[in-house]
Parts: sequence; C-alpha cells; structure tokens
Amino acid sequence: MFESLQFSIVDMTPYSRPIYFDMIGLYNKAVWPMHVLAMILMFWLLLISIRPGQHRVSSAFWILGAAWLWTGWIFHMQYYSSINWAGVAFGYLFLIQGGLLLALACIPVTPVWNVSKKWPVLAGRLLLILAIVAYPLTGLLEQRTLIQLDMFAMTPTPTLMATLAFLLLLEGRIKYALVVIPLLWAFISASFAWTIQLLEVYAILLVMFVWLMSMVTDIIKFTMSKLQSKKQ
Amino acid sequence: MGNNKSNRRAFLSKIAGISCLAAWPQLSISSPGNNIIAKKIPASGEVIPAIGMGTWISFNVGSNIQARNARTQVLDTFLKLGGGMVDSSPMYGSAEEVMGYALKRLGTPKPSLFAATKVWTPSAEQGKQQLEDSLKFWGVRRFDLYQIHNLLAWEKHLPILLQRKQAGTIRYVGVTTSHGRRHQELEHIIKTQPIDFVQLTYNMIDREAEQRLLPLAKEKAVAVIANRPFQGGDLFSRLADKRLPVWAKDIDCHNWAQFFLKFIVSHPAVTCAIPATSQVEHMIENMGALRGQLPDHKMRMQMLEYINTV
Repeated sequence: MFESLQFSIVDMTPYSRPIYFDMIGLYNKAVWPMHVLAMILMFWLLLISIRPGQHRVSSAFWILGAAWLWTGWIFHMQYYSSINWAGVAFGYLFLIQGGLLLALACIPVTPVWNVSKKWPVLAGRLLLILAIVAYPLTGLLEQRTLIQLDMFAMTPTPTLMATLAFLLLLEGRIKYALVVIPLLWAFISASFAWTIQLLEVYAILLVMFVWLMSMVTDIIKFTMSKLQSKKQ
Repeated sequence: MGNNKSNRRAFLSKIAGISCLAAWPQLSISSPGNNIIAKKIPASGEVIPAIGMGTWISFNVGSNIQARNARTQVLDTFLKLGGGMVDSSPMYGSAEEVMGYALKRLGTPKPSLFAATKVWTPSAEQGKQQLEDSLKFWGVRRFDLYQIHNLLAWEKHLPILLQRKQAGTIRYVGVTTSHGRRHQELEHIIKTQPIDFVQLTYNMIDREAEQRLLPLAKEKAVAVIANRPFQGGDLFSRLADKRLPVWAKDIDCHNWAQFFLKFIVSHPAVTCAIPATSQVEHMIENMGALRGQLPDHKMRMQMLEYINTV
C-alpha cells in the first residue's frame, strides 16, 4: 500500500508554469461568457458578506456549491486533467464539496452568521475581498495575460479562498465539516504552486494560517467554557 | 518503434559496419559527414545513439496546438541530429499524446526512433490497459522499451511485460527510478530479474549510482539510461555565470549541456542519457554531445574537480 504512495509533489506537477498559464488561457477562452455569470455570483457573495441576513446564508451556499461543482466538473475534469494525471480525481473532490454545500443550502437547518465583531469575522471579510478581487489580479505580476487570470467560480484557487473566507463568517460546528476538503485542497494546491513558483502559494498559506488561528481560538473558547461549567 | 521493421534493420545495418570500427563501450555510428557516439545494449548488442530525449514536463502541453507544433520541431531536430531514444510515461500528463501528434506530423515511421515508455499503476489489469493506451497515443505497433515507472508494483507488472516481450509487443523490458529513490530495491531487481534496461538518476552531482548500481548493471549486462542529466536544470543555474574551461574543447564540448552530457555517457556502464527540452536551440546544444571525443577516466576526474571548485 505504501508503495503506491511513492510519489512526490514533483511527480504530481508534470507541467511547467507557462503551460499551466496557457491551459488556463485556453479554458477561459473556451468557457466564455460564463465569466459574466461568475462575476454576478462574485458580487452577490460580497454583498451577502457585507449585509448578512439569515435568509442569505442559503444563497451563499448555493453560490459556493455551484462554484465548486463547475470548477470540479469543467476546469479539473475537462481541462486540468489534460496536463495532470490527477485532474479527474481532483474533479471528484470538488464535486463532493460542491454537493455538500448544495445539500446545506437545501436543508432548513443552516448555520447562522457569526454576528459578533470578533477577529475571524473581520478576517473572513478581508480574505473574501482578497480571494475575489485582489488575488486574481496578482496574476499580472506573474506575467499572465488577462485571459490567463484566475477567477472566482471559474478556477480552483479563488473558489477555495472565497469558501474558506466565507466559512469564517459562520457560527457553529457545521463549518468544520465543510472545511475538510477545502483545507485538503489548500495543501495540495499550495504544493503545486510552490513547485512551479506561483504567487498563489502565499495567498493560500495566508488563508490556511487564518483558519488555523480561528480553530485554535475556538478550541480555547470551548475548553474554557467546559472548565467553567465543571467549576459551577 | 516497431511499425517499420525493415527500415530499422536497414538503418542499423547501415551504421553497424562503421560502428564496429570503434571499441565498446563507446561506438561510433557514422552517417554521411557525421560520427555519432553510440552505445551497445548489452542484452542484444544493438547499437543506439548515446543521447536520447526525455519528455517529462517538456512534452506535457495539453491541447495547446501552438505548443504541440513547437514540440514537433524539437522532436524533428532531435531525429535529424541523430537522436534515437525517446522516453515518456503515462504519468507525464499529455506527453504521450503529444508525442503521437508530433510523430504523425513528422510522418511516421521514423526508422531511427527508439520508442520507450512506461507502465505506472498499482494494478496489473490497469497496466495492460495502459500499454494499449500508450500504443494508441504514440501511434506505434510496439515499443522498443517498456519500463516499470518508479518500480511501482513491479512484481505484478514484470511477468506480464516479459510475456509481452516474448509475444513481440515490446522489444526490451526495464525498470526506472529517479531522484535517487529506492536504490536498494533497484539493486535487488538488477541482481534477480531478467531485465534489459534500468533507468536511474545520474549526473555530475548525483553520483550515488556509481557506487553499486552502475558496476552491477555492467556486470549483469543491463543497459543504463541516465535521467535528470542536468539535475532538473540546477546544474545550469549553478554554473550560470561560469565559463566553460578551455580544455573542454579537447573533448569537443562547446557549452555546458555538452559538458554535462559527455560526462554521463562516458561512464562505461551508461548506455544513454535522456535530457528533456522544449526548445529547438537547447536540443541542438544537447545533440552536440553526440559528436566528437568522449572524456577518458582522467578527463572525467578533471571535469568533476572543476565542477566542485566552481
């Protein structure tokens, strides 16, 4: 069993940086004008995060679910798989996450907003702006052409970052069930990005770090409340 | 490549007479106006050019037609300059498909082509399917060399490959590793299994194979393919601002690529080095190592000393 795991990150990145950018360019060209719809969803998600109403949680899950499904089915399975043997498997991972998000959008018991002004909420909002607006533009610093830029709901990294950022805005433990695949993908994606020296590695590491801190905060809070209840 | 047996035979017989003039391990294949450095495959005595071509990353360009056509030019240059072995794997994304595209555009069959690919799956059944897929992708009827990639499930694949060899679907059987991984297991396989080729990482920096594997391969009459001859490009980065030593001209090296490659293929146990490139200019530089003098033992030591001092 261990034998089959004998491949490294390098083995999983059998393409060069220019070829990766070219592939994104070909994909963006082929799926145009889906970007218009993606842009509408993008601003809708931003609006929801700024003016959170309880009925809007489901809307956000619909948007994120659709983004993961599209990215898995079209980007990974149809395009990325042409340069990476693992593309189809990654596609399934995205489909599962998309399915989970859509399932939560459908059921009546949805997570509630974290209404306090605690730092994870502020960090979540800032990261959402980073994911949707700022991060895709960093591609220009990597000499990508406009058509080779990443975009929320179209390519994996901004979709991943927006999802992790959005989950920070929520209260309750359900968000931990939704974060497993994104964190796993964050690790895989950061590894690829590191191998071919993409700037996204820093963006992903930042989101992962914020999530880690948020989890530590939650664990401390949980432990303190347990200790207090024992004393009482 | 197996789809034109008579062409291959004609090519080999054309070169065989002249190649006999030189002593093993270094043979000289001559074509009009060109002397090509070639090596014998110990299992059969067949002679192949000492510089081959890898396809890792360089040929994985997906469906990008512009990039596919550029790689076709690279392959064309390789073959025109006397290259033979082209090595790929199902693990290299679209590389096999792109190779098939390039061969088709160049007009197969290419008599000098020595088609090498690999099986890369933990399942024996999937392995059989992978061979069929590779044949389809390349557009060939058989492979000259079929290898087990990174020793993955080699116990399952090897008996099947040996059967395929007997049946004529493949001419030679081999196993591969890279980055210096699993050398102990590789040693065990060379000692105990009837393989024709072994592929491993060997270059001017990564020389662990010199200790046991290369002498063993020579003793067991197993041909050796050296992958990562430029250490994944790190050798060039290391020497980017350094000039080639003046005495490099004595062994007909005019650039660093030739310096690195001639060091590798001058080892008596090494049959072929497989540098990968996506650029025609680099291919021309690489293929320059197929001509002129090879360093002797004393010169090899001098080359190493130079690299270590800079």
